[in-house]
Amino acid sequence: MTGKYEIKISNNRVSFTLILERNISIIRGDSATGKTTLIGLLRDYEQHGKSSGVSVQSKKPCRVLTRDDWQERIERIRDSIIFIDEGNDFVKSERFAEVVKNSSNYYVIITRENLYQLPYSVNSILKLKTTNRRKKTYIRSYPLYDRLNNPIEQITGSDLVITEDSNAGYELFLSITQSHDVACIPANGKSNVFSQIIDHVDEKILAIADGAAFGAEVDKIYQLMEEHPNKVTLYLPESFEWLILKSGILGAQTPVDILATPSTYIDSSLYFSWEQYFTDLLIQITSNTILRYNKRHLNPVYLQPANVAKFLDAIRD
Amino acid sequence: MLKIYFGDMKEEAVYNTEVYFKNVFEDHWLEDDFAREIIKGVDKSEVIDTHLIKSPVLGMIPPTMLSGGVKTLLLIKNCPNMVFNASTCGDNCAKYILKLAREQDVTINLHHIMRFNTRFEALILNDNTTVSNMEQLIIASARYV
Repeated sequence: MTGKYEIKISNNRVSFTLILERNISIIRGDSATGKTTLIGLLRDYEQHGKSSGVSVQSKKPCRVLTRDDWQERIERIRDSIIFIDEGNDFVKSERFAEVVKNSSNYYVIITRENLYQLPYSVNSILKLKTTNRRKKTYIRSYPLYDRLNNPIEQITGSDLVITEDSNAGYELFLSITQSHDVACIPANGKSNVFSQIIDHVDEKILAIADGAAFGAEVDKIYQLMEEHPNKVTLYLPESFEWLILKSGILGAQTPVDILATPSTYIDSSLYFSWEQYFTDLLIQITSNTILRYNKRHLNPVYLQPANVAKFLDAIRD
Repeated sequence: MLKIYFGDMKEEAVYNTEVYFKNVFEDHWLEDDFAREIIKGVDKSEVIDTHLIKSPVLGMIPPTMLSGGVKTLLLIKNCPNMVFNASTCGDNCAKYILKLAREQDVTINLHHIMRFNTRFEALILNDNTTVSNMEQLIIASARYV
């Protein structure tokens, strides 16, 4: 499935609006924000249709999976938006991850747990917020985590930059930090970013990771940032390859339309995360060119001053 | 004293507190001040009687339509020999867990890092360490969740 979807679910007392644009969205946040009510309305509508008194406006069918029937139903559901309520431990299973990986469905999972086997985006972790309350309550989804302001200033003003990546991405950020006399170390994978921060928590740290697949790691780091508000910061672009694509380094080959609305192009049945898509896209566009991209080792062309300047502009945007 | 086990406890903890609440709830649970306090504080609702709650969003509702967080708090209070998955509680329930833990021994199971925005002390059962602030809790629990 591709595309961005606005879904409205309502009865005579409450109206939900959700914006979904990726294969996996997570809803979490405080108790009593409407999460279970949302699932209840969808379940009523699925069982009784319009005669439930619930209205669902969605271009794709909305389904609710439960613990009892998920294995049986999930194989049969296609091109739908599947909701899963809190308390369903199967969302942590490898089997569930396997099914989601090649699925034509989008998934909305209500949980506060970190689902490490699923590469979900930091931007698709949502909270529900009541936006208006008169005779009817209006509840809307918003991203839970704020974006980092002034990432360039954070890079140059840090004692230490930690990159999730240990290959091409690290090499480019190392070149940038060296010119500002800032130390830079690789974490060798997203699961090591937190421990690297802990090891250097007395320094002013900026950690850089691929936001498109960092969802399961972000909570503990944000919690730490709450404890060290001026010491630890996170910069989470979609991915390193997305920054290169966006930078204009590729000139006329820059995929402007794709970057403007990635969800229109990224098929959930082919790509588990946007991160993988942008890597494949960059490799494909630069093959047989001087800018040929290799994730394992950065092509030195990208380190030329003009290209580094463009890369920095992409970060600044 | 608050005791926390982080991660999977298998059959030793109730994971789906929603289902458990539906099947074990007793009317008298809503009769005490703690129940009224959490229903007001978390759900912004009012206990009318032991079968009926007035919600500003949903109107008159039965106890089974309380929020997942309030249901879990009621289970922790009223089933002190059981361990419940408190990751069904949002951070707005944390102060009530601490309040209960000041009055009785409370053991909870967490699958995420709950934010306690106040002074607290907790025993992490995974490795028998005691923590007394959020930074210690984050570092102690990160490897398990």
